[in-house]
Amino acid sequence: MSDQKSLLQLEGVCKSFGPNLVAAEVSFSLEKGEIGCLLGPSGCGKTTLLRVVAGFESIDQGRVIIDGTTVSTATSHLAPEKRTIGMVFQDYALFPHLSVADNVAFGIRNRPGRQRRRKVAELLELVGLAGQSGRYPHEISGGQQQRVALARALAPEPELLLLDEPFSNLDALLRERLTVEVRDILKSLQTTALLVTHNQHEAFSVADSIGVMFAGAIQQWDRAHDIYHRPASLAVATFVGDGTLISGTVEGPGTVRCGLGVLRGDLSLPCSSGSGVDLLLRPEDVLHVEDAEIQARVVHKSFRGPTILYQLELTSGEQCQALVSSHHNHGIGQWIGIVAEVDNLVIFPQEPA
Amino acid sequence: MSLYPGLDAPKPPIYKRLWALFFVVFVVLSIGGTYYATKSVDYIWRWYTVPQYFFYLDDVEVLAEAEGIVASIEPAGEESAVVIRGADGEQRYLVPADGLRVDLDQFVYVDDVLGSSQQWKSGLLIYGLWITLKVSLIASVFALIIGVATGMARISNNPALRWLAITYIELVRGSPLLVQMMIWYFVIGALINKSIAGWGLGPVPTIWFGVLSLALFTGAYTAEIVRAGIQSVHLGQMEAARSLGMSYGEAMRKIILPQAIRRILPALAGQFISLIKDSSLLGVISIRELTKITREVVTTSLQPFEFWIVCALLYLILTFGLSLLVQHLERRAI
Repeated sequence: MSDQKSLLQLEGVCKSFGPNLVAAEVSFSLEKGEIGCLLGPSGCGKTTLLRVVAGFESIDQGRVIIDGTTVSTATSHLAPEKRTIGMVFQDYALFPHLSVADNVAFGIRNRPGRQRRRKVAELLELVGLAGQSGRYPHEISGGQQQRVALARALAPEPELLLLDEPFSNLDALLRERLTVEVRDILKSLQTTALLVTHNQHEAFSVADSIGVMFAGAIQQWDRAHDIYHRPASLAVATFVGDGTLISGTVEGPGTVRCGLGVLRGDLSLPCSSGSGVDLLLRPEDVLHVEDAEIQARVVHKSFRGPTILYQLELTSGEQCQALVSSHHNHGIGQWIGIVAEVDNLVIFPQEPA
Repeated sequence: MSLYPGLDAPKPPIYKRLWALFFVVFVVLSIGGTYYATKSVDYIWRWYTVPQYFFYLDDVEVLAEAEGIVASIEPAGEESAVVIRGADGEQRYLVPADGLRVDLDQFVYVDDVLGSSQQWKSGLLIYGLWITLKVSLIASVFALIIGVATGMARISNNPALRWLAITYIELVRGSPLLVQMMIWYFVIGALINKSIAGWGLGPVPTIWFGVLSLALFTGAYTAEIVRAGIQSVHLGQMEAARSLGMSYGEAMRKIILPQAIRRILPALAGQFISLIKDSSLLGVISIRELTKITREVVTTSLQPFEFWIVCALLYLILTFGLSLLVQHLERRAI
C-alpha cells in the first residue's frame, strides 16, 4: 500500500499505443514538496507518462495514486478536472481569447470576486508580470507566456504540478533564468511537481530527484548528483552528460589501470581484481597539465567560450575528451599533457570478447 | 492589399489606376449592353410604376352602416363627429374634418361615403421583404442552435448521438431544399395538422413549416462548419481547461466554442447568406415572401424587367447587410 508521505505514486504502470509500448511497468513515487523529473530522449514515453498522471491518457495496467486516492487503473479513470493537479504545457496552451488576468483567474473562477482578484494579483506579482494583467497572450513574449502558464496552473493551489517541457521554447539565457525562478517559486509554495524534459541541465537545475527513461522504462531514479556521478547503466551514463568509455583493468579495491595511468577512487560496482572493465571518463575529469606524464594528440576541438572541448587520442589508440580553459589553445595534431582526476570510478563490466 | 506583400516586385503606380479603369469600363459596358439589348427588343421601361409597390397613398373612406338623416356634425379634435338618426336609432361616426362629404339634414343610404382621407400605406414589396426578413431571422437563430448542437453531437463519444448527427446531416444535405419544403408542408405538415385537429387545435401556420425546413436545412451545413471549427482548436486547449477543473461541457462552452466560432465566422456568414436566398423557395408552400410577391406584382404590372431587378436588389440589401455585420464581428474578434 502507499505510505502516507508520498503524494504521487505510480505502481507498475503499463501503457501502449497499438503495438508501441510507451510505458513498461513504470513505478516511482514523489514525496510531498518534492520536485521530480522524467529525463529522457524524445520518444522515450516520458510525456505520455506525464499525461497519464494528468488524466489525459488511460493506462493498460498498474495504478496511479495521487495523495492517497487511486486515480487511474486499467479499469477506472478519474477525470482530469477532479485530480487537483495543475499543468504547464509545452506550448503553454494559454487561452488566446482571454486576457492574462483572466487566464490566471480561470482555475479559480468559482471563488468570490475579491479573493479571486487578490490571488491573481499575488500570482502575477510572484511571476513578475504585475503590469501585464490586461494584455492578451499574443501580445506578450514567449518567456512571459511561460510564466502566465505557470501562474495559471498554480492559481488553484494544486496538490501536484505537472510541467511538460516547459522551457523548451525559450532561448538559452531565458531558460537558465526561468529554471531557477520556477524552482524557487515551487519551493516557496512547497508544491509537489513532476517535470518532463529531454534537457539534462533543466533537470539538474530544477529537480530534486530525476528518473532517466529509455524506451518506456525508468532506468534509474535518483538524486541529480547520483544520476551524474553514479549512473546505473551505460545508457544513463552516456545520455546524462558528455563522456567516453575507455577500457581498463581492476587492480585492487578502488584502483583501475587504463590508458590514462592508474586511477584511484570509489568503484561504482564491486569487481574482483584482474577483471576487464569499461571506465566512464567525463571531459571535466581530464585535466590539461603541460608537463604531464601522459600525452595525447588533439583530434578535434570545439570552442565553447570559456572552455574548449578537446577530443584526444591516447597512445593506446583510445579516445577521450577533455574540457580545458580556452586560454590553452592548441591546434589539431598537437600533443598535450593530460592528467585524469576521477573521484567516482564509474565502471561497467566488459563483455567477454 | 496583398496577402503576401513583398514576395513580388513592387508594382508601378500606373498598375492600380489602369486596372481600376478596366473595372469601371467593364461595369459600365455590362449595364450599358443590357440597356441597349432591352431597347432593341422594344421593352418600355416604366420605373415610375415601382415606388407604389413600396408605399402608396390610399383613400380611406368612412361608410354609413345604416340609412338615416345626418342629425348633427360637431368638431372633435382633427375629426368631425357625424350623428345619423335612422329608424333603428342614432349612430355616431368619426370622419376626418377636411374630408367630410355630407351636409346637415342630408339623407344617406347604407354604404354612402360620409368622408374620406388619404393615408400612406406600405405596398406589397415591403410586405414580402418583411416576411423574408422574419422567416430568415427566425430560421437563422434555430439553424445556429441546431448547427452547434449537431456539430458537437457529431464529435461526441456517444455512438447514438454521433450516428444521429451523421444521419441527419447526410439526409438533409442529400436532397433538394425544394423537395424538403414540399415534404414539410404536404406530408409532415398535413400529418401534424390532422393529428392536432383531433385535439381540437387549429392548423399550424404555414410559415412555421417554412421556418422549420429552412432551419433544418441550414443547420446541417452549419453543423459541419461548427465541427470543423471545433476540431481546428488545438487539443491542448481542452486539456488545459480540464486540468484547471472544468468539465467537458463547460470547457466546450467557455474555451473551445468561443475560439471555434471566431474562426468559422466567414463560413457561417456564407451559410446564412444562403439561407436568406433559399427562403425564396418558400413561395411553393404559399408563403408570400419577397420572390412570391414579386411574381404576383409582375403578373399584375406586366413589368418583369423592373420588378425582378428590384427583387434582386432587395435581396442584395439583406445579404450585404448581413455580410457587413459579420465583417464587423470579425474585426472585433481577437
